[in-house]
Amino acid sequence: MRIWFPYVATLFVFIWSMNLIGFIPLPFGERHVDVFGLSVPEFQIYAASANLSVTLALTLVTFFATHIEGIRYNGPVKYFKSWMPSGLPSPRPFGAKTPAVLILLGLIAVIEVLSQFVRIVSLSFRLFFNMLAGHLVIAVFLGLASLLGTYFILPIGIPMGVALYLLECTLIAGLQAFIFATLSAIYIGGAIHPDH
Amino acid sequence: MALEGNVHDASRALELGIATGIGAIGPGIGVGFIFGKTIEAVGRQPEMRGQLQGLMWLGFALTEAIIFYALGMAFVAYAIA
Repeated sequence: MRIWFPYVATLFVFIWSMNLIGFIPLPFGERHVDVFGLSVPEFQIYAASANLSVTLALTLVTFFATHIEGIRYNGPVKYFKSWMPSGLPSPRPFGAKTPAVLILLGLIAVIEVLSQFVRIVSLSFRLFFNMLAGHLVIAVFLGLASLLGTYFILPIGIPMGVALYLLECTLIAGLQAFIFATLSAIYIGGAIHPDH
Repeated sequence: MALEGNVHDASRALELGIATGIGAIGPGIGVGFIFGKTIEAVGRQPEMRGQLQGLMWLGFALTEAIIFYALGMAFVAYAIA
């Protein structure tokens, strides 16, 4: 629907800028390092989207928007019926249905309801762990020398860390914002027009 | 054979590495399939490139997310073990 374009576009711009701001190293560390007599705090990178609360809040907005719009446009009965895949036999309990068909229909209904709630987990965890794992991998490669206790690993660790940093900045940050916005649009659009 | 040293911490570290590594196998194969099939499709129908690229990135991100479920569960196991 056209009226949901501003929401999706805002999601994209908001998440993208949140991811990119997170990759600016800022002197927020608790430990201080002595550089030529100057006590400099450690530089850290931490994106707001590498926090589960932020991504879960955004996901819940999409989740409630999906179902409220679905019910508003289709009515509750038609909307909740549209969760079931098309082509199934209709569940009339007193018709000429064998119990096996009814049991199967019940199982499919349980799976479909679960899949609606799994969307919350998948949408929020995708963004959260992408950013968190990006930070962790960069930190591991840059800190490889102190982890292993040798400086001979530095010529490998520093370029790998920088390469992963550039990959995260240029590709992953934008891609994850795009994915989050696109999936939100797909979910909301699918709820408004269930038949296609 | 008696085990010496800090077996508890060692097993936690091993768990994190092994769980993440095994969890990376499936998404790795899947991501390779997605890019390979997209290249195949673009080779067959080059005029569809724009549409296929959007679908490719969507599928890539959906597949890639599976490793993060393994990573998340590995972190949970690491934290509570």
